[in-house]
Parts: sequence; structure tokens; C-alpha cells
Amino acid sequence: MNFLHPAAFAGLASLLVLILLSLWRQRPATGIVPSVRLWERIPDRLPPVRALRRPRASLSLLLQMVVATALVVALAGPGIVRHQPAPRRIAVVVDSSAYMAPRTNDVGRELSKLDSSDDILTIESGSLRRSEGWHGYHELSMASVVDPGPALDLAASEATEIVYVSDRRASWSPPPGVSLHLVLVGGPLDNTGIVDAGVEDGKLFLRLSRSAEVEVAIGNSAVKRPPAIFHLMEVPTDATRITASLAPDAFTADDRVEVERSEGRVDVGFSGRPDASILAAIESNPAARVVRGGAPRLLIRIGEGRGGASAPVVVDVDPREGVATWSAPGEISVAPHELTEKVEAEDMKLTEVGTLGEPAETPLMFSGGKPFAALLKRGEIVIAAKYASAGWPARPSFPIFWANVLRYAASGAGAWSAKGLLDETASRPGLERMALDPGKFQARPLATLRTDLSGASIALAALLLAVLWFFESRGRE
Amino acid sequence: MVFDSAFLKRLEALRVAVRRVVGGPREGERPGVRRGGSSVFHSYRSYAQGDDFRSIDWSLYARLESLFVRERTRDEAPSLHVVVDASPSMAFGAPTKLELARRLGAALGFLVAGEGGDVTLWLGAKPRLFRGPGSVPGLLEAMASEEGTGRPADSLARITGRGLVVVASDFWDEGLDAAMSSLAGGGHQLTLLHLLAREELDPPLRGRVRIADSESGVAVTRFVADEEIARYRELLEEHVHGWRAWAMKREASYVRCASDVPFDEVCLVYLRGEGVLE
Repeated sequence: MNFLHPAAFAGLASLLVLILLSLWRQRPATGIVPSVRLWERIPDRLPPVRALRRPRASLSLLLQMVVATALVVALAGPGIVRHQPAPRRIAVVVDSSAYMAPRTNDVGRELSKLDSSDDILTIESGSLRRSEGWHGYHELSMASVVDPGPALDLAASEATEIVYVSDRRASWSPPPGVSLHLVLVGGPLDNTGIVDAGVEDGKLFLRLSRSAEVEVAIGNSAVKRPPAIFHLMEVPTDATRITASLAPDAFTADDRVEVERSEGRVDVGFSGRPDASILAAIESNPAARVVRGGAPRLLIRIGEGRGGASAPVVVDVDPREGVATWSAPGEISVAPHELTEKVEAEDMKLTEVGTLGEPAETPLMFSGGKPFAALLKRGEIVIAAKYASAGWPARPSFPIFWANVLRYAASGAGAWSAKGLLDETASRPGLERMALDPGKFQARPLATLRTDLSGASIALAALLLAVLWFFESRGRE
Repeated sequence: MVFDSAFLKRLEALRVAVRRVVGGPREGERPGVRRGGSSVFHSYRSYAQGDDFRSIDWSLYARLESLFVRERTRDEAPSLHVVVDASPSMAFGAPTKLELARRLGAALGFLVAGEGGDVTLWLGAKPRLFRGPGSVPGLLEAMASEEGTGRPADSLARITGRGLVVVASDFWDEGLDAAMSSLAGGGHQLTLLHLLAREELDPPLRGRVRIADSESGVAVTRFVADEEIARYRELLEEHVHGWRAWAMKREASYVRCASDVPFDEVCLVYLRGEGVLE
């Protein structure tokens, strides 16, 4: 037992005061009466012995002294100190890549080796979802191989002991002072997956990780194709949806893929500064549908940087990045391209044009011979121009240009796209195994635990006070 | 000092009983010792010039052939002296004995002044005279707030004339006996209001106690147990009986009451019961 404030024991001097007070209380009490005349006529007598030495008086003093002692002890802050191993903070990063789906039981078996008295934080590598302990996957990434780097960085900020559970090694090095314990739950899987799928030139193309039978459903008819690594088959012109599936195996995430032909209508999203002219030009076109959020096919960014939201086709108007200098427009000319079809150079009434800071794959418009509008790469159009609403937007070339952009965006929209296709690496199982060895963790530090007994002392004092009050009140009766 | 209206209504239905003919300086409703115009015959005297012919007793003239006039007594309002003991011993009780004494004095003074009498308050250093109904508010105010000084025995010694004398005290004062005997012999109608505090009736003393006198400071140390308390009660009873006997001997009214008895009950039961009020 130790005390936080040993100096409080000076309060034990109050015991002396109590003793002196009790001696003083044994002197005759003084009673003032209106007249002492009658009392003078009553003879005094020696009190009986039992009145002088009442045990109740001694008990009262004893109780008072115990109460005072208990209060002094409470003020001194008594406590019992124990040393015991403190729980370790262990961060467990569980690879939530798709290829871990068949490994869930292995993960649970390895993590059950952890001491439940430790403070265990589990982080799923894909979603960075945190939880205390391991209760199975919340969310498995089925579309890509997850980079465990961010989750491991997060774990390193939370604990000095990191356990990484995966079926393959991570190319990540722990920072100084942090220990990484690799747990590998790899091993051969009896898996055949679809690693590539698509429709081009009216033909369905499928590539499997190894030779296998595949069932292809087009509309209401299904065809089972003989085992092969590559599959190629004709697609009816009216088909809009194709489903290819393999026989279920240990890893089912790559056993099925859907190939769809999207609608011809283009979903258009906007971000950045509002531009009523562009919005009006887009909304007036029946091939466009303006959407808020979601995944538009065409994204028009106005006065924004090059990062942020993206889409298959992005048009940057008056971009904040990627423009070297801004200047008054020179002689405007238009390069022949499907995007500039029927766009007249004399309609391009601009206030400023920018010099593009990077080489353009396909220049579209020039000012003084230098391109200010270009197709940087497939799906990325930049127009480094500023204009007044009475300038270019008031001319016929403006809606024509945006109609060209919509048509350009729609050219890919009608294409086939595969859904449920995994990265090819996801179909290759990790083969290594490495069990978790809890003995490699740092030893638990000894924590000093102190149980404060001040409250108990105060409770004891209160109890004794109640007893004291009981005796005192009985004494008065 | 405020009496509630219900109490005043009940109080107004009473009046201070006058058993002796006590002359007051003012005309009132009580038979006086002076000649006046009441219907009560007083005496005959020889006719003097200027006497009202209507007062001539013609039947006496027929027998004695001398003119005599009938003299009647004068109805007088009583004269009340209220002597309030304000010594330190009166500060005991809840309410204190002094507080009860003030209220009793106020009630009796209210009745006497209300019927046109004189009320002399002996509470402070000097006596204060209140005359007639118009002085009632002042009387009540003085009863409530006048600081009490002096010994009641000294006040009693200064009372002159004849009238009602009410002494509200705990009667522990040594000189009271002689002063009141002198007044009783002088034709005053005395009323003793013997006020006792609850702690006097039932002393809360136990064990070894140094018992100090509130006035003299004299102290005695006694071991107090049930025996001593019983003996104290006997002595107190003797003390009370002594004053009651004293009062009976001198045709004085005697009322003993504890200070914690409700005031209404003191006035309407105790004082009426002892004939102080009628």
C-alpha cells in the first residue's frame, strides 16, 4: 500500500484534539436558568459511578478517533499498487483482395493464435475498415488486387506490432520501431477463372486462366463450349447482354462475367464553375442526359484542376492546370477532326486563349498557330479558352461543337463492357504459407496498476459516523 | 403588535373585570367613588345655591323640612397599570415570557383604553400613559417595541392613586412581594400574571450541571437526575402555590400559565377562567 499525499498524516494530530475535547466534555455542562433559587434548595450529591464511567462515552471517543483516522487516511490517498503485464497493441492488417476469399478460414485460424488479452486492432486492406479483434471479413474486394500499403501505413501509426495476413508477400517495409509479422495463408487452389472478356467486331472473346468448359448465355439461349483457354464466338447483332460462367471451384469470384452493351444516350456530369452556355448546349441535345453524381460517361469540368472526378470522356474548359500562359487570341484556326466538324473559325470569339503546357496528341483549335484546344489522349479533351457569353456561345459553332463532343463520347458508350472481370493476378493464388508465431511479439511491458482506496476510507468514515450518531442520539435520550 | 381581526372581535366582547371600586380620572361606565351623574345614589347634602332643583329630594324635605340634594356617583372608566417584567429571566421560553407578557398587557390595555380608561405602561425607564380609545394604536406600538428596563418592584413602588394593576412576571424578583403588598393595601385591584417558560416547568438538565442564574450570575453545580428533577418540580409547585396563596389573601387575581400556551387560549380561557376578563 502506498499513499499519494503522506503529508496528510499530519492530520492525525486531530486525534489529540478529540481526546482533549472529550476531557473537556467531561467537565460539568453549564445550564442557564431564569432563576437559580429553587436549585439552591436542592442538595448536590455525588453522581453514581455508572454515570461517571459510561462505556458509551468511551465508545463514542473511540469511534470519533477511528472516523478521524479514516478521514486522514482518505486524505492521504491510500492505494494498492500492483505490477502486471500490460496488453500489447497489435495491429492486424488482413488482405481483403479477391484472392483471399477462399482463405477466410485460414485467416481465422491464424488470428485465433493471438492472445485475446492483447489490444488487437484489425484493418482490412481494401476498405481500411477498422475493428477490434477479428470477426471475419466485412468487405472483400472482388475487382482488383488490393495494395496493402495504405492499410499497413495506417497500422504502423496505430501500433508497433503489425501482423499482415495475406497469401503473398507485401512490398512494404515497416518504419523504424515497428515490427512486421508476416502471416501467409497461400497455397494451391483448384481454380479456373475468366481473366479477360469482351466483344469486338461482333465476336465474343473469352480468355481463361487454364483450359476449361465455359457456358455462354446470350439472351435466352445458352451454349456450353468445350474446354479451351481461349473462346471466340459470334454475337447476334441484337444481343445486348452476354453471361459467361465456369463451373464453381475454390475461388468463385472469377467464375462468372457479364458483358453488356450500354445505351447510346450519354450521361453528362458537370463539375467546377457553372457555365450556363455549356449546360444549355448539352441539355438542348436529346443525345445527352445531365446527371448529378453517379458515373457519367462525359464529364465537363470548368475552371478546375486536372485531378478530381473522372469519366471515360472528360472535357476541361478553361482549366486551372496544364496551361503555360494566357494571352489575347491571335488568328483562330480549326483543325479537321470529328470534334471540330462544322465548327467555324470565325465563330470562335474568345477573350483569352491559353498555351497548352503539354504536347497534344490531336490539336483541335489554334490561336496564332499554337493549339489552345486539343485531344490530349483518348477521352481527354482540353479547351484553354475564356469567352464572354456574347462571344463564342452566341455563335452556331458553339452548340455544334458540344454536339460533336456528345457524339464523340457516345461512340464508346455503345460499346460492350465486361462486368465482374478480375485483375489477372487475382486468379493466380499465392502459394506461400507462413504461420503466425506469437512468440515473436515483443514481451508485454509491466504496467503499474494502482487501486485507489480513498473512497473506501471515506465510506468507512461515513459508516462509523452513522454508528457514532446512533450512539450519540441514544445517549441524549 | 398585531392581533388578528377574529381575535380582536372575540376580545372586544370581553372587558376587564373590576371587583373593587377603582376610581379613574375619566368618566366611563364603571361605578366610581366620585360624585357624578350616574343613576347610582351616593349621599345627601344640604342644598347650596346653584344646585339643580331636580336633585332636591322633596320627600326628605317633607319629613325634615330642610332642602337636601341627592348626590349620585360618577361612572368612571377604570385606570389600568400594566407592569411588565422585562428582566433577563423573562427571556426564556418559546415564545419568551416577555413576549407573552407584552401581548397580554396589550390585550388588557386595549380593552381598558377602548372603554375610555387610562392605561399606564410600566415597561421602560419611564411610565407611559395612554388615555382613551384614540391612544390604542400607540399603546399597541409601545407594547410591541418599547425596550424593557428596570425592575418591576421599582415600578410598583411608583404607582399612585387607585386602579387596576396587572403584573406580568415570572415572580422570581425578591422585592415583588413587598411592593405588591403595599399596593394591595392601598386599594388597588391586583392581577398577577405568573408566566413560566417550558424549560422552567420541565428543566432539560441532566448529569453534572453547573446551573447559572440568568440575572445574578450566581451558579450552583448539581448532579441532576430524575430525583433532582422531581424535587425541583415540588419546589416549583411550592413557589407557584405561594404566589397563589398570596393573591388569594389580598383578593388579587392570579393566573399562571406557560409561555408556549397559545395566546388566544391564555386570553379567552385562562384570563376569563380566573375572572380577569368578563
